[in-house]
Amino acid sequence: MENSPQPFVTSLKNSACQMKMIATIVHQLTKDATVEELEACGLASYFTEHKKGIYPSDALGNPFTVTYFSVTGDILADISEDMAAEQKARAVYESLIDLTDDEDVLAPLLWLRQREIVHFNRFKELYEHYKKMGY
Amino acid sequence: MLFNNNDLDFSFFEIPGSDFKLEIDRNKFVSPSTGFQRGNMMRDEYIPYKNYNDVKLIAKNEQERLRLKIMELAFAITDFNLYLDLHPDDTESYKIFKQYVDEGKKLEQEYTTKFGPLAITNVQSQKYEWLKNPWPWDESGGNLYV
Repeated sequence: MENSPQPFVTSLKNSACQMKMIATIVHQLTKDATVEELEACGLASYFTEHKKGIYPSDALGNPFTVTYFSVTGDILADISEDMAAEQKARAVYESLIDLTDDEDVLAPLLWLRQREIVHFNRFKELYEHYKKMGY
Repeated sequence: MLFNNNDLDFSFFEIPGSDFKLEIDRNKFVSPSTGFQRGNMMRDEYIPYKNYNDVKLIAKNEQERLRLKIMELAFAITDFNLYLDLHPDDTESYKIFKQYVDEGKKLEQEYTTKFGPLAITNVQSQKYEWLKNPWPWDESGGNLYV
């Protein structure tokens, strides 16, 4: 492995797959909703801009942006950032789990939360690996 | 389900006349079906949330059964990938990884022949069948817009 970017690449691929799963859940939950129902759920503004299209934004409506992706070029700092991202994702999945009682939504959320735990552990191992190499 | 998993059920991966079954039991990984259900192949890293149980997928017919097995193997392969990236010298784990890859290829071939392509590169059929597949977000197949 030495200085291989492979663990990063694998992890990025996994994150893209998680986005697909969440987008699918949102699509399945909204596809048969009436405009009135969307409005009652506080989604009138969303509907105005995006209809039922999947637009990636956070729970407060802030659109997805890479502005907050931090890359310092310092390998230990960057892997710590990745580890934090996995923990933050786990925490948000737990909030989503707390907020729903829909079993078809719960099952994939529990699964995705578990992925964050695995990814965190792999990043942690990668951190230790670089640390041992003298970074 | 959490405490009633099929962790010790390796019948699917049992190879007649080999001790592969015993070998995996001692391993740091759980079986692909348990791992896929949990979202975590690592025996010691699994942390459930509160008192929620993870959900076992139930296949309704032969096609779903076969696809579920393929998904379980693909999932196991992904976690082995993450692990082996960091432990490339763990030959024991690499051996199991190879078994899953071989088994997955065989099942994908079987699925493709019986039910159509799982990947764009599965081209057994004489005609282009990719669009006929139901996509994960569809309930009625993938030809709604074509």
